[in-house]
Amino acid sequence: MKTYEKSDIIFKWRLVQYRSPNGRLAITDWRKTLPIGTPRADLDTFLRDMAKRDKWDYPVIDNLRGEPYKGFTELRWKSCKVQHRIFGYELGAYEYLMLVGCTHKENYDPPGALETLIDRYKQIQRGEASYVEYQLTTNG
Amino acid sequence: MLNINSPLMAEFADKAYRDAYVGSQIRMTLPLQIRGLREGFGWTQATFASEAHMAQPRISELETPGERRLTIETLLRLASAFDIALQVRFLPFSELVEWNEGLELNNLRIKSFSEELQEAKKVIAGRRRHRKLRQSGGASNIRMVPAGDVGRVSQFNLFEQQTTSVESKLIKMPKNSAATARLFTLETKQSAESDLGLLAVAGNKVTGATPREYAYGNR
Repeated sequence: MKTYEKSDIIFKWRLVQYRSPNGRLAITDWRKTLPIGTPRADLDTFLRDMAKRDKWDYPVIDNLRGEPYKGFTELRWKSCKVQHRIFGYELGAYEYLMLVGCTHKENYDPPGALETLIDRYKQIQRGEASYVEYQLTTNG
Repeated sequence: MLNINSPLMAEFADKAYRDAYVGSQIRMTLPLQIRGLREGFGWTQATFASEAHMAQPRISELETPGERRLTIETLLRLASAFDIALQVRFLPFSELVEWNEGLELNNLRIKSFSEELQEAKKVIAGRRRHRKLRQSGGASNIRMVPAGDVGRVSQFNLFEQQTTSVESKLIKMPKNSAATARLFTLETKQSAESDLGLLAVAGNKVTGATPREYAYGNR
């Protein structure tokens, strides 16, 4: 099994994130929209913990439902009583591509998160956008 | 000591983040730790629920990051179900970060009290075997003392090697002896039980019985 060393932590998973044609980073930028306190710290801790875990299974990860989203999954955690989600998919063994970050309370915030997911996926497939490693130890 | 070069320091400059980071270790990491422990014990959620006298859906929630507020009472109940200890204490940020970075979250295996007790009994049985051996003359002029530390494989490898770096923490030899003795326990991969052993050190030369040979009187 490959491991990824950063600082003193050994991560089993490599997390990567979508980068738009103009250099915007999906998760790093979304993280900046979260309040500095609990939601941001929870996101950081959750992703670091996930990267350490050998096996990802429900409830921390779940398949997205609906034909257009087949093959996509969502990372799930709750912070300040609000469901937080990261949509993405497994690129390969122990490598996860994060395409969209959002919250969910009745509706997704930002609205249209699922449509954005498909758009970003297609952009990557067409080579219009790319992905880069998400810096876990620098908190994005 | 805080690693001021750590990128985390930029975030820690903000007290709101620092405080939230402490909380996130409980809200986010503890549920995964609970799950890792359950897996380490080889339990299903249903088994764990039964051991903890809780409903299975509650176990599921407790294992979901951020889903439930974890009280000390709940944690005590879970610790009791695993028959392991729980420690709640205040500590510096540097220690928390270091602990978290080194924290294993896969198949956590913490020995339950009964497992610890079983191990302790094996060690005592080993000591008794040795005492018996000594009484029968098998230990020559080397006197055993209680093991204060655990000899690892590296110490085992010192056996019969020229060395000047052998520690002699546990020296209790007859007055007229030129050698010093060191008792240690050795955990081998072949055996889960701990062996007692002796290294006799005379000058630079390490001689004596290997732990297993000595403990079982083959030498």
